[in-house]
Amino acid sequence: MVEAMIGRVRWTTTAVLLLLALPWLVPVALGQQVDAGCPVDDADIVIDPGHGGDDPGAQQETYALDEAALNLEIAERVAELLRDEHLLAVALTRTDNGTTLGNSERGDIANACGADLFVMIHLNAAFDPEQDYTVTLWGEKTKDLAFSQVMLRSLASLGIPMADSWQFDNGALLRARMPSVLVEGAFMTNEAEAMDLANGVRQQWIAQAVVQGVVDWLELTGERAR
Amino acid sequence: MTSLRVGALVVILLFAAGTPAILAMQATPEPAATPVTQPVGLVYPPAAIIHGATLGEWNARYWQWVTSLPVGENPGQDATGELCGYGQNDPVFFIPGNMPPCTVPAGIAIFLPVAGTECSTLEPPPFHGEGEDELAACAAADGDRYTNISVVVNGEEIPEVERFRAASPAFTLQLPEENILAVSAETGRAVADGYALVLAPLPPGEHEIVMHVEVVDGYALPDKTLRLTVVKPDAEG
Repeated sequence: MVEAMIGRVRWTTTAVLLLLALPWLVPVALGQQVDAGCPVDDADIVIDPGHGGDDPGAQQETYALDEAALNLEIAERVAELLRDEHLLAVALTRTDNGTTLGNSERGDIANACGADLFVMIHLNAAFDPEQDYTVTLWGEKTKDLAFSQVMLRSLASLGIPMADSWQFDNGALLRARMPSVLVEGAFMTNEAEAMDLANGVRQQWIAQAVVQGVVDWLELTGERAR
Repeated sequence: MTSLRVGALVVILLFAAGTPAILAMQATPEPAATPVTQPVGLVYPPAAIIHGATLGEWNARYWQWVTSLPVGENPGQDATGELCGYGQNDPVFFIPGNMPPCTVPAGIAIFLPVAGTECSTLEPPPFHGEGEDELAACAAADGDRYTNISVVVNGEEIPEVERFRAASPAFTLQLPEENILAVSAETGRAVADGYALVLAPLPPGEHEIVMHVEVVDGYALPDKTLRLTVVKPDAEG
């Protein structure tokens, strides 16, 4: 039963991830290299609100939730907390909901910033409204795995099941040269999550958990070389 | 009748005389193929013995190197390239998998990890194995994911890069505290597999290497561009 559930969870997640990745598979397949610049000089951290522009991401009709807009809201809160409470220079890959970015372009922005960390913000979705857990995704083992694990631990504060940290061939994760993670904070299709997102409270919890993950990583690595 | 017997005896004697020579010819082993130890053009051939080790053995040494340095001082997590030279004591210079802009001493061969992974007794699934066969199968499963690989060095394509599949022998992995595999600091066994090249030493100056890898499921990973600066040893900061 448990294995069946895990299998279903993984299948659902895989299906959702593939759907999310579709808009970018074509440009990645064509090997397009984007000449992206950094929107903030000397950014320490680059936060990427997932989707946006032509790609709204997942939609939750009951509460009229739009993933791209929610991702941006969470990312802005993460940036604000990192700037105000931790004095870090933070860049967002997009600051409005009209901008369309390909995955490789998002990674190129992180590289152009010369950032120490790259964090992609997403919300998950499933056909099953009961489904809810948090997961982090990483691209390249030597670069991303350890940061992804640290971020996953910090997301425990969200109080929902933690799936794991999984490898994902995402163009942004693979293109970025610094430790990178894609956070799927919670399922916006889950009834309780949807209510909290509609009320505007869940965004802050997710943002705080992500900030804690960044801070934990910087503390882990801060006293070392450089 | 007598002439027939004499003739048969002559034939037998001649045959007997020739037999040792034939046996000797059969017993003489083929001269062993001299292993290639030098690069051919831009790259060492897949079967070359490079500074005493095979490509698979260098793949093992690459993983031993990249996992030996903790987070915070690991070149594989440094986008600036400032840490590229950390822990590099081999006659082959390892390029970190995140392809930061590295400065490399002139006259030294360059190990380029193109695609692949390692599996060990220390990691959880999907990178876990017990015993050499399991470890090899685990690492090979990742190596099997890749196809249509190309590597272009300064505009010149390395022919048939898929010849450079580098399965390692089993090796020891000694992980420090806060290691990049995010597991306990222990010593275990591992096997690496994937595609990797050892490039011939590049001349001093700026170099660009572009890598293209596709996954057998039918999509391409984003191309990686590596910029190297090769300097004469006395010019290294």
